[in-house]
Amino acid sequence: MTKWMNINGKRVVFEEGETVLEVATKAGIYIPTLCARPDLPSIGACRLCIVDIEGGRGYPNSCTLPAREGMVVRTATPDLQAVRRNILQLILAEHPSYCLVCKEQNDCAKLRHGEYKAGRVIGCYTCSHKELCEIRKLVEYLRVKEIRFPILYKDLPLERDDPFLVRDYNLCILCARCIRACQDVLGYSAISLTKRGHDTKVGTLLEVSHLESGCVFCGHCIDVCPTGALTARGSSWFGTPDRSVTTTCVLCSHGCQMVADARWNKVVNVHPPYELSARREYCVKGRFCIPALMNGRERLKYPTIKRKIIQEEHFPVSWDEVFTYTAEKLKQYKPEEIGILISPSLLDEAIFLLSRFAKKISNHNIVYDDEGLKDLASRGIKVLFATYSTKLFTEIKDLDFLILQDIYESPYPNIADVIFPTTTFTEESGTKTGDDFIKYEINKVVDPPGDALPSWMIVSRLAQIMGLEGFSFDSVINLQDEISRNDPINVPLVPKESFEYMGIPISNKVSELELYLDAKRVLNKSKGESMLDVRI
Amino acid sequence: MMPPHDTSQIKILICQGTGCLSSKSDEIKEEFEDQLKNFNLQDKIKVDFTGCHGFCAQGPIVIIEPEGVMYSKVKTTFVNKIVESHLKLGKPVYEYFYKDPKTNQPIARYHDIPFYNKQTRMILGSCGHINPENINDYIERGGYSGLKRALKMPPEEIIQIIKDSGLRGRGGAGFSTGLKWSFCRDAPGDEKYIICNADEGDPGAFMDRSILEADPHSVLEGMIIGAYAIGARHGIIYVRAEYPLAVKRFTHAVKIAKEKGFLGENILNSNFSLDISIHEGAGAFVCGEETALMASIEGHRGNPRPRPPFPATSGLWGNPTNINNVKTWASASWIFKHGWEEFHKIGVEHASGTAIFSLTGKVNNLGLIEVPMGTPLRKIVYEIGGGILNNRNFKAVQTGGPSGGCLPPSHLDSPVDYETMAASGSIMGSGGMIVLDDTDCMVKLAHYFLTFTQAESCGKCVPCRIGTRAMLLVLDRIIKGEGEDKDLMLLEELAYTVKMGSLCALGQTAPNPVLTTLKYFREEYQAHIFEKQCPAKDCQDLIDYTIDENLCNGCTLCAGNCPVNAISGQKGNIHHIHSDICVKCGICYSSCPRKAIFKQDRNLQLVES
Repeated sequence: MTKWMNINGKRVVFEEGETVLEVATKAGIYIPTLCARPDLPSIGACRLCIVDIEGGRGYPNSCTLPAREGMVVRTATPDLQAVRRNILQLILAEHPSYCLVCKEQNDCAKLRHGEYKAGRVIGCYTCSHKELCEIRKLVEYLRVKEIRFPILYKDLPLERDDPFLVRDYNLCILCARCIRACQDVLGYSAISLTKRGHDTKVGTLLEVSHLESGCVFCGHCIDVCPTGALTARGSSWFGTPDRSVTTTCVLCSHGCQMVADARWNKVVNVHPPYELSARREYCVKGRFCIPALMNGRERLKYPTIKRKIIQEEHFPVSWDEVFTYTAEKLKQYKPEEIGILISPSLLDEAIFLLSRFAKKISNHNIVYDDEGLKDLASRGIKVLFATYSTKLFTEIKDLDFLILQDIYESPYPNIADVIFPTTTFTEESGTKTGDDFIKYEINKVVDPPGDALPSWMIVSRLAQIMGLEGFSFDSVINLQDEISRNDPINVPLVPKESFEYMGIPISNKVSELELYLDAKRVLNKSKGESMLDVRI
Repeated sequence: MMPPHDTSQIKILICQGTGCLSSKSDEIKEEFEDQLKNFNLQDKIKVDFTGCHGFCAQGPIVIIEPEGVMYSKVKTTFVNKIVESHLKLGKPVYEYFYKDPKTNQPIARYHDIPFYNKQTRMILGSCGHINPENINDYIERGGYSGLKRALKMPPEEIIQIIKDSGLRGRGGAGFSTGLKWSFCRDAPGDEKYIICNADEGDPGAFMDRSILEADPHSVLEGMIIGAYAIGARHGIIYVRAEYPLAVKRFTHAVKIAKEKGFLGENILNSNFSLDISIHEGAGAFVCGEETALMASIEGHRGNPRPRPPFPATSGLWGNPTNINNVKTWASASWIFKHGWEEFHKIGVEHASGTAIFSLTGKVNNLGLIEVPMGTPLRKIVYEIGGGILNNRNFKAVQTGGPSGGCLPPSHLDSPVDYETMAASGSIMGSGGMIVLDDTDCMVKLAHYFLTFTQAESCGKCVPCRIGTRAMLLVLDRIIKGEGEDKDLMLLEELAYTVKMGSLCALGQTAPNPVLTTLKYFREEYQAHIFEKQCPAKDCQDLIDYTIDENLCNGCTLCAGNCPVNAISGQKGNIHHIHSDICVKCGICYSSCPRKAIFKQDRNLQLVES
């Protein structure tokens, strides 16, 4: 049965159980909020969403007020706005807001290119969160031009001792969103409100580090923080991204949707889409490690062939040259002597083409992990096309020719004969089947470094040069059509606890992750818990 | 002289409420027992202890029944004389009686003491007259007869009786108790709770403590009746941790009541079962607010939650919960013992029964008083309170503690009840009442209360956490003599923001002391700000202590007592106070035998006090 209420003179319909804030938002009526967020339980702390109910007493907060049949609500009377303006001024009195009252602010807005890093945040222009800050949006809406109440800078020490997170609680407005995300939605309870009254502060139990407090560095606290109090180290100062692309993380098979921000053709920050509620799947790898993982200067850029001039070395060559060379070599072996090693990090398209390749030239000698590789070795293969690095290469006794496709030089003794530089999942488009058999969309965010190519394209061109049929596709879309016409492929799954990508230990490229893993190893040793505390 | 009497039923009742206990009334009890043996009276005269009389400034108190004689400020050294002279020889010791503050004449019987006989002690009726740890004393006076009566009625009838009695919540909000019980009864859910709010956080208030220490069963019985009416099977009392004796006495009462079958499974064969547990607070005033209290019981931070939903529909762990103050539960058991009509007869139309106040400040008689609702303030201050101390002038009375406000002399004839208090800008609150004279600065008083609420703010919502602090900073300036022209307007605007914006009643009422003092004593604020003067000569930074050269005889008593050596002068010569060293403690002021020390405005010449 439809229920009706009246907001600002407008008749609106609502359902039993909705709050006045939800009803107003759906009806397109704006009520200012700071501590409320659709994906968090409301607590009514900021007092900005207060409304005037006819026949009621005082000003209740609309974020928890249940809508009732026949309620008459006014959301923006002059008195409400006046009280809101004062509340916002009180917030600004204890939040570094010098820029808001500075005489030079108009010139600054015209002449400065944006916010800049300084020793301490004293105002908007020294804060990395300026463009996204929700307080600034409210200042604009309520037209606050001055702060008439005693100003206080809490002078709390900056908290920078944990990896991945930078915390400046001088900016914190105690909306408790981070705590509600961590405690109520995700259940980690790594942080809470400590002390009380005016000294209230967000913190951990007994002020231990986040590494010890049960924090899994999923980063959702940063995602929900309305101010610049919580930021991701190394990702905050790039300003407005050139491009933000929604894609899927491939560091394991959960298929978490992520938004990658790119600047200067590099991924600089990764975060969940705003609308998505926090899910326990988000982990430290996808949230914080992707930029450092993808942007290492040692990324393989050019195909190489190992030649001996004075000593054995890899020499960069063109793709045509390396393909020709490789094709020649492959012709010299029998199918049962050739093996293919699939990396579970590869996208579906690459796996499909590699399977087809394996069928055509290697008698289905296709394996998906180290176990399979050992098996191949025992059958005496002489050629291996590997798409990830493993220390087992040296254990293949009769190995004559090793083709290695990867993104970084192998951390293990490099015995590859040719190297194919390939793209990471942020550098190509395609699909990835996850562990619930859903096909996730992978969207290209940035261009790959140097001449690196998507793996499917490498296989396609190599096969064509070898004269094989059925490998000619001019776009990934054509390839996807072909895949849909065929039997489903075998999809290797990557568990969440895997800390490798394409065989490269992620912590080799991301030093903060090394710190995190060391700390967790020490803590978890006796508890026998997972590194990532997975509980789905 | 009193005639000799039959000693066979004499009882000596020694107060062992927290106040008297801290003055060693337990030793007095032992001394009485020893002295009775000394004079061989131990078989005829019984010694027992009671809870608080509410007249703690006169403690330790000893009552001799059945004469009704009261000895006050008793010392162990008095006991021998009392036993020998009064109990053995029939000659009361007049010098140990309470003395009328005006005439200084001793008054023998407590019934004759105006402080007592001008009160209507109903809820406090047994306090100080029964042993709180002896359930038989309670039963002898009709205790648990109300419960027996109630258990024979259908729950709806019980609720109707409470509604008809006109009982309103005694925690300060004054909501109809019967209506509140009916909301909880009607709320859907099988698991219901009742809670007794014994967090009593107002500074100086001790009514709830007194009742729990002196007559715990009156509260317990009310809770059992209420639980039965509502359909709750669990009850919790939330007592502040600073009341260990109240916790002890109530715990004991629960244990004994259970043994006698008034609590526990199948109470008095009615098929109704109830368990009651005790939960202690941990030093937070905000936990007296019902939603913060429930959060605290649940193990969370004591932060209030927005209402609706109200506890009656969704309270403890989401279950329908009825919370009432100690005095409300005690009133419920009174109503079922004496009948709702008797309760309704007392008080006024819209507020029946009595109100209990903790009367303190500049009156002659300090303590707990119980008067019918609607009693004029004048009667409380002058007849019961015995008038202003030292014959000074009445200036104002602060009601409702840190959530309340001040009322000036023009309001002396106001009847004390929920609506009239609220109409004048104050609140009745949980019952604090502080009387002020012309030496009390109203600005300093507002500052004192705001310091309290600021310190006790839980910190959850912006207006209270930051707004009360901003107000306090402005008041700090004003009482230091650094007030600025715009300060009054700033205070009023901040007060309005905090009042309208705060989440819970702590924040919403925190500006009340400031708002009422601004309303009735604005000229004092103006004097502080524009003339840098404190008319009451109370604010330390605006006064100087100075010695009148004409009266000083150089006795050097003041210099000897000064804790910071701010007074110089040779014995026999006129002394001088150095105002830059002086910390305005006032010790010299009270030690001078010739009253030669005066308080003067800091920047002006000597003004006679």
